Amino acid sequence: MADTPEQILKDMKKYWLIGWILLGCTVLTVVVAWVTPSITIGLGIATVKAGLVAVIFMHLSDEKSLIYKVLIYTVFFAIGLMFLTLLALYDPIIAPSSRSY
Amino acid sequence: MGSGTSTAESANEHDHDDHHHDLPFIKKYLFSTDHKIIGYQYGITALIFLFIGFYLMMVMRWSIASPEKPLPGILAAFLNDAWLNDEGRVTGDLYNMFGAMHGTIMVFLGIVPLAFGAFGNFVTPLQIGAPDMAFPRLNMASYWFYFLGGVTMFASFFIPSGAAEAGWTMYSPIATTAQLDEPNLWYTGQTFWLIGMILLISSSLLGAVNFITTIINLRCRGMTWMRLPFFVWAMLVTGFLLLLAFPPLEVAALMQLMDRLVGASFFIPTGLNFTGAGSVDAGLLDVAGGGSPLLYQHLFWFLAHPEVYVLILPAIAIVGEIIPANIRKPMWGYKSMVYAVMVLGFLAFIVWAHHMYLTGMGNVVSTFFQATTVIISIPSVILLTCLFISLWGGSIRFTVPMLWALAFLPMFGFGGLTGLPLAFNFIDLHLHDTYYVIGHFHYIVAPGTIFGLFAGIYHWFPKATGRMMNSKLGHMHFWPSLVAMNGIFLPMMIQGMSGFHRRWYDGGLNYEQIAGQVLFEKDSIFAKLLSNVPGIESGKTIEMIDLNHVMTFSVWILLIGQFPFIFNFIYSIFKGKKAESDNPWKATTIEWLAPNKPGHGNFLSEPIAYRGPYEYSVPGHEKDYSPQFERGPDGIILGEEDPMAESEGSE
Amino acid sequence: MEIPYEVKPRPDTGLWNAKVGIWLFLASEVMLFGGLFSAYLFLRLGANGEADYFWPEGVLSVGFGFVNTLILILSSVFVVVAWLQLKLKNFEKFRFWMILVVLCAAIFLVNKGFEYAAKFKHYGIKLSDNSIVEGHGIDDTIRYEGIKEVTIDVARFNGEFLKYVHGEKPKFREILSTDAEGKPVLGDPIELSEREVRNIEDRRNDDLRKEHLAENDLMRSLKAKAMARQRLGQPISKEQESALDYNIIRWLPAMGVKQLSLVAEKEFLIQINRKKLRKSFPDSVKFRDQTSLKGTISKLTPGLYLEAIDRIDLRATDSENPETSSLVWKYLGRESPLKSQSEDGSSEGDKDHAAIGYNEVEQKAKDDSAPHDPQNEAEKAKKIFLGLREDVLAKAKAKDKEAEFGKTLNHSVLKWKDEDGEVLDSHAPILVPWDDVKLYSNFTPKWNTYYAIYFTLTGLHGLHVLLGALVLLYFAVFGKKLFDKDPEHMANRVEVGGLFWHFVDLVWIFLFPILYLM
Repeated sequence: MADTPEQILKDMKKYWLIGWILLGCTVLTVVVAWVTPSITIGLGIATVKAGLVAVIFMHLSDEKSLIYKVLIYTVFFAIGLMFLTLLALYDPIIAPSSRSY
Repeated sequence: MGSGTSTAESANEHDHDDHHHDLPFIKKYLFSTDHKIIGYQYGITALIFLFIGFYLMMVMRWSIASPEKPLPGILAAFLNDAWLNDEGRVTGDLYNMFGAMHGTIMVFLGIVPLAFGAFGNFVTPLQIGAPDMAFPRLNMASYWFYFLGGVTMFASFFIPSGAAEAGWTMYSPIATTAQLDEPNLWYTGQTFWLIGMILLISSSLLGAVNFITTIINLRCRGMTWMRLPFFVWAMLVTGFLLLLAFPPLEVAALMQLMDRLVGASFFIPTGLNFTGAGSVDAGLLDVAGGGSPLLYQHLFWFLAHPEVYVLILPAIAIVGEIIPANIRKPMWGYKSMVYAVMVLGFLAFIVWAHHMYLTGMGNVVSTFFQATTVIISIPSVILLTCLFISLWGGSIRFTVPMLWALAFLPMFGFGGLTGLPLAFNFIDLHLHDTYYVIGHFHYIVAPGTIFGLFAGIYHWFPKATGRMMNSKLGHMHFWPSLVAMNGIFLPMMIQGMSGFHRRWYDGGLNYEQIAGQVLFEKDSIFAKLLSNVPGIESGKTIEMIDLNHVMTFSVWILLIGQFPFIFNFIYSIFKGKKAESDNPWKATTIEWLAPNKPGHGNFLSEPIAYRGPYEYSVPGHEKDYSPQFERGPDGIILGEEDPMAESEGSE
Repeated sequence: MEIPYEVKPRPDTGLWNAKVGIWLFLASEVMLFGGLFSAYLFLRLGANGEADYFWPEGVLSVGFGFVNTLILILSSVFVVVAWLQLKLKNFEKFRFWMILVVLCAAIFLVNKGFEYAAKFKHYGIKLSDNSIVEGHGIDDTIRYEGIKEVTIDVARFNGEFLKYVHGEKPKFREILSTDAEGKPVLGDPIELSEREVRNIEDRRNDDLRKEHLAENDLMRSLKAKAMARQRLGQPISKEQESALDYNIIRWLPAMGVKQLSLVAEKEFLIQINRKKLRKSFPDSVKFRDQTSLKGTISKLTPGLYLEAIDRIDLRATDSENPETSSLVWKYLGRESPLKSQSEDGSSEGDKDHAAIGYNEVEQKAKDDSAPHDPQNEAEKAKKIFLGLREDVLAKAKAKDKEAEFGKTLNHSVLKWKDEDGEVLDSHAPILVPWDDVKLYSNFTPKWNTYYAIYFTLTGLHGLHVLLGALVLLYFAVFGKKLFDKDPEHMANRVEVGGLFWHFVDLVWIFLFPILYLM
């Protein structure tokens, strides 16, 4: 990232733009949830937003490789953690009787 | 630049950091930001906790071997009388409490702080040629979090409810419902345990951030990744294990705290019928339910398996430093060891469920975890094999640290190999929660890690104090410890395979079918041999249960074996033989460049790494060792053209 | 001594220390929240397999969450702007934007506070048939009359029950022993207090110990005598023979007095919220310190009263035919307990507890606010609920999506509108007899695992917001000194603080949909 004043002012414009996009996405999430409560869409928009924050605000678009390595390593295990459910619930020795309506 | 020939005396005369000595006592020794002082603080505190944990174990072992005899006065003296029954014997409750706290204290308050906190703090910055840790104040905070956590844990013995008693794993729902009949749930050992745990975890997280940053960013000139001593590599991996594995346990502790204190039911299933014996709360718990005990176990073991590697890696690392220095030849397969330790750091995160085979997981999951568990033995074996092969053709100096290091190798190997059967679901069904598991685990951490740590203490003692530890006393410490450790843990394997359960406080007295299995016939030579052990009548058939006496007897020998160490340690600080130079072992890594008793800032001149970490007996050199900080004979920096040019490296 | 690379990046890694540090710290934070998200997933997916528990959806106020999301995103923009201003060497502008960030944080936390407060005032009752009603205005007072006997656990006694004694506190007499006819021998009347109990404990323990030691001495001398006689080959008496096997038993605190029984001089009554008790039975209560009170004539108040029901959930009910037989319909719309229940012959669950008007003042105050007809409201509620249910069920069947029925119904019930579009503005009360209350709680972690994970997640996140805001405030207020000395160092610090702040924002971006919307 260049540190000349011109570059900084340009960056500032970019950050405001991203800020507005994020606000827009938030409104979108609520509207979508109101129209059709879909988990996939909700989480999809959230992931996009989180990605924008991480990439632009946290300057991950322009970071040293060491930090990428640390983060990839971390995210791998964080995702692994999510599989707890899968391990515990979806591979039982005896299938639980399911109840339907 | 001097190559470490200045003596401790001259180093102290230099006094390059005058103002440091003007600091008041409190700032210099209590709230110090100097990594060495913090290392000492960690070390002393952890050693004290190790002895407390040892004491708890002695009480338990007494109860196992002689459940019908009152606890001897020497052990009972430290106890609240009310905890023993009316004949002065250990009760089941006390056994549970001590069992839980023995595990907690040894793992979280003893070994990890000693290995990672003390050795990591003291050695790492010195070995990479850094003046201090990257965040000195964070380092201090880390120690004080640890101290507070330790105090919280220890204080729980002295409150009316007694300390936590649900096993060191604190499985819900038993941990959630234990001590529920106290009027104030905040004021119970279980709650103290959770709060103490949160403090300890915070301490470890701060420590891990600090270590990794230091290793990444504070390496001295020329210290490229592949010139890092193996110890530093191991610390880096350990740091990552702590950094990423501890938060899930923090979550688990937090959730269990919510369960206990505000009646949440994260880990309490629907309709749990609580029948605590004689408790006023027998009956349905007044909670919503809907949670799952399995969730706790997953979160707990997600930490606790990497934690096992946190326990063992620093010890391997210490041994990895001591062996090359004492065989006067380079470490065999330095690169394979580095890669092995990295792979270990990765695989450690995906084997945790092998602790949970008995929770009813299906074939798919248990197959996966069996596979990863067996795979993880590969890097472990690589590490051990490299160390063993290093010995080949070396001119071995049997110094005291080397003795410990040499003993470490087979002990760790034995502990590791006995773990293999446990990796398999079908064998684990039989061995789960038996003494076999206890024996396996303790072979790794007791004669394994603790031997490694002792080796480290003897090895770096001159650097820290400027004096050598007495080697006669060192021998008196080593040999009884080696024999006694095996006397304690080898019989556990035998008992475990015959079905002895780890939670029997009477050592199996009430389980005749298992306890009464014949081990040695009356007239066999082993029976005659064992009849010399106090507690076993002579001329009788040796049954499985009689091994309890062997173990308990060994414990007393182990205790006696530690006295020379305690004496040696304190005596040598003040009166030990002065180290003849800054590099008494003639080792090659950079910490030996720093003056003995290094001041604030560590080095008298800027350290530069000119070569790899283990250049012993390089052909064509005068000396049999070429330290990293020693300029080559032709005056150019060996290795890469510009030490600062190389980048990239780890993960 | 100076630590290298505190400000300038290290050439080969390209990073300065604090930047490596904060990213590592954030990595561990990822695992921390990862663990919690994983727990969320686990509980949520696991809940749908349970027969009597459904994951609540859409129960939080989206408005609060929405506003908070906007505020956090804005503050995130402000942080980067502040940082850039600092890089432009414009400290005053930096300070302005930073203070705005802290203000955002404050608004966020205040908002959160309102949201939490609302949860604490909202209650739910799970009935014994697993149907659930939720609403506002709880009355869980229990009243016990005619109490005379008190049993206390000496070690745990903390005098709590004395606080709830109605009127003048009676004096108590200790039951020392029972005489030949089984009548208790009473001690002197005392004012009961924690200190007094300790005194009694000491006194009694002294006596017990003396007795114990005396017995030990006696047996020891007998044993000595017996052994002496044995050695001489003389015959020994039976008593001495038994003494031979005697082991001296040492005195232990555990042998001391454990329980005290007391009798009150006159009968008294207590009135207390059920929550504060450990256990209650028709004729006795137990406090958390295990003090138990027993009355001769006792009255359990009729039941748990919830003033305004705003949601009914029959999905998990055990009733064969929830539309007609659920316990909810049985108890819904009962007029406030001011009126005697005995008029209502149909009630069976509360036979044991003859209902008498209680706590009249409080109830009146509640009823004055809106004059309404509970019976009528109950009818309406039932109609709306059942109408909705049929409606939704029919639609679901038509679309062949019966499995989603529960979810959709849950969504519709919140609106409380009947077919004509009439919105229910005052809601029916319910009075559930204690026997039929399986669990009741305000919407705190105790109520169900959803609120448990909601409070844990948002609480931990709120803590991060608070700490982050404090650090940023510190930069804004005290940063000038460092800025003047070394602006680059200051900019680095703010960057690190900003990274943490963005992470907090990032976590919230996920929290909002998973807790509020889905």
